[in-house]
Amino acid sequence: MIFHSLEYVIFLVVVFGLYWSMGLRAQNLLLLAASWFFYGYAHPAYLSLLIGISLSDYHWARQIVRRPERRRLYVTLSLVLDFGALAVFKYFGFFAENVATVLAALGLDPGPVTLQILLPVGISFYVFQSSAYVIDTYRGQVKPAGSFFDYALFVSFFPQLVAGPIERAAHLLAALQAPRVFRPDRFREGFLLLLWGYFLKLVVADNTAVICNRHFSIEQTEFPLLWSGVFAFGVQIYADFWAYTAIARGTARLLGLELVRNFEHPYLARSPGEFWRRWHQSLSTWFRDYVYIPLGGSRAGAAAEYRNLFVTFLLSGLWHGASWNFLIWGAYHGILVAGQRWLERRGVMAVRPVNGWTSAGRWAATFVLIHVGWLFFREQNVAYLGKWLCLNPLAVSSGLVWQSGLQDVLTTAFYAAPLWLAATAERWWNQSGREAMAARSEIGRFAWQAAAATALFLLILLLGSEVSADFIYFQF
Amino acid sequence: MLKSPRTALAACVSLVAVALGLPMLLGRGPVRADRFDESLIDDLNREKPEILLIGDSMLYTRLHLDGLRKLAADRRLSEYSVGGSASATWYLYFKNVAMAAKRPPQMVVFFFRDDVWSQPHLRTAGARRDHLLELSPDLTTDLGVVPGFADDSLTLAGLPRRLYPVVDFRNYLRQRLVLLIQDAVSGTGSKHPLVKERRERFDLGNLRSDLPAELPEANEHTEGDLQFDPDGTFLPEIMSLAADKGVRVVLYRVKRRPDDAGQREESPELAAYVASLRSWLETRGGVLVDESGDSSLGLNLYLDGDHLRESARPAWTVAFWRRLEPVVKGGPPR
Repeated sequence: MIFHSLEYVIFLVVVFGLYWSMGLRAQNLLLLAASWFFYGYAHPAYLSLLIGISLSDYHWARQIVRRPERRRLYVTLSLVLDFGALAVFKYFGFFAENVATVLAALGLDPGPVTLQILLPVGISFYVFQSSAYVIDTYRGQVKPAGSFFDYALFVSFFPQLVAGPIERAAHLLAALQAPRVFRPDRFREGFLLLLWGYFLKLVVADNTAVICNRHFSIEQTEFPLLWSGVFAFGVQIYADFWAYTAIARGTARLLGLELVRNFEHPYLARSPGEFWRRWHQSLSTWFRDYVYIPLGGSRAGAAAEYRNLFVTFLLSGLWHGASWNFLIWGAYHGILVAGQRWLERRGVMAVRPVNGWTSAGRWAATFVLIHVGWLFFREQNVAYLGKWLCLNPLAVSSGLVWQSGLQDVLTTAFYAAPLWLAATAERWWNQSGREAMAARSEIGRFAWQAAAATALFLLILLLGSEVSADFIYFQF
Repeated sequence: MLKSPRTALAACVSLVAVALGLPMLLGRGPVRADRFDESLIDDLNREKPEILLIGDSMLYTRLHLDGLRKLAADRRLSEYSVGGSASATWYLYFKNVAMAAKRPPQMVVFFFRDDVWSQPHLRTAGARRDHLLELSPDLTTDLGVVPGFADDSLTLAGLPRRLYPVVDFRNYLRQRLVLLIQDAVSGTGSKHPLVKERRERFDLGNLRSDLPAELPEANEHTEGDLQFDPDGTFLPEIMSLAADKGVRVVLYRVKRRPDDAGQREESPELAAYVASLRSWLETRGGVLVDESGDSSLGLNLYLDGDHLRESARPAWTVAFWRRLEPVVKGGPPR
């Protein structure tokens, strides 16, 4: 089931109505049934994989606590099963295809090695969430869940099941085991967050997707056209993913639960490292805690740190998809972040910008570098990737091509304006808005919320795209 | 936080009601503008075509209009093709524009694939409906000539549009935004060269061959219910209007993407369907021209789906005129 469908709205209204008329145990069972229904709605067969991973990790985590002397074995078995499933369902086709290409190049007959499997939606997200729970149990950072149903709900909680945020057991599992009370103020915030998410998806992401898809669908392109398409993709992917997170958080808030944030205005970043502290935070922190730090982090000297950063980002690229362009994208970011650390160590680049000009310059450079990365991310055909990178800005066929590119940049900027407004509004909110709002009467607060909600919904009606695609991160 | 739980709950319900309810009031009554685009009639009055070609991307990805004008030297030609359109669009243009012209064309040629005439609902919802509104001053009545045809505003998919008529302004706003930005980008010069550059750049002929076409008009057309029932189509109304104005109607069936050997498999049901359509049409003075059996239209001419490569268009246009010319002269097609 997808968030921007009539089915989901009906589903949410029914779940919401039943949920708040029940006690805690029944609430959790209802949420579990609803989550499994939500996941199995399109492909019921893959529900067994979700339940299987939940059962396996629930079991191994309990075993780790029951027989601590064999905990290393149990955590290994759990991770082999989790990542084995991920490897089979997500990476086997890619691996087999490349082995076949190499064998064919050597003049050997590769035979029928390709296995065509439909990628189960959200597998990368729930495998990471579930495996983190087992590792945290192994490390003694969380207690294993007492009830399988609570644990299964933690893995399959429908708002964040398909595209995150990737939650930690210490946060979400604990919240699911605690009683919830209906709080009208949280409901109102949740409703606004839902509308904001739908606005981001239907107005910002889907309209910029039209611009981007057009540019990446043509054979003969030129420098200004390609990069206006990349800019559109940068806005699209941010709005699309933030939209999913906002709808997930809004839905959870309606149910009295809180999910982690995941984004903090990443395009305001002034270095690649800062970008990754602001972008997809739940995945970045997962890789930090379960890959980068176990590899040694920055503890074993500069060279080891650069290597660890590179490996971490390479794996992060592979997490996004089983194709060469994602590996290139991961390697590119690994080089950027390791390069930044190298410059910082040498004193060429200050950890924090020293004045307004350097700050602006670093922001602009980061923005450009991140968008170069989006080209690797968006273009899945490596041959075309090479072709696009060779486009020469000095060899543009006419001024009209620049005008055409500018037209799409301005159109994208129009749709992207709310993203910048949101960053400004948040800064105001954190500096003085929260106090100002708290000082208002209840009627005054209600009027503000009603005006914001009506405006958002009206903008969705007036500016929403007629063509709406799946969320980009569904494919991961 | 509100002290009384009942008041707090009422505030939640009110918030949802206000946000979702207020926009329902907008765009109703006189605010909802008549969207019929009369400039289309003016264009036709200016062009005064003797032969008018109507269709979807099957037309504009095949036709080399300048080449056809040279071939039909003594006849004025016009074409109206909209990517992703279907029979409802063609019928509305024929009825409200072509037949409303001061001097209607002598011949109208409709390009179509297989059984598309028997799918009157095809591509009439969503953004397509905005376009249909520009072709009809009274859409519900116009489309109602097909018995049982429900305007999409009466279906579940059309529910948002019924609840929120302000949605009908969406297309208008989008066009205004495009024009505004094009004006800004073009500076003091005309924006027409820019429009032309973009049209050519993003033409279906420039689509990448390694991608499944993402544009709806490039998608494969699927066969619907293969029973030719004229009452379930716009054709009786088209033939009736044409008879009133003395216009000759030609239905031109294009050849869909063939296999490697240049052949296109055709089911017996589809062959029977086309035969019924031809027979029905001919008894009413119309003509069906069918290029689907032409083995010279090989796979090498096709780009994506059923669209032809740009380089194939001049040769296709010559073959097209060879088929059509006898009909123009009053005889049967070649």
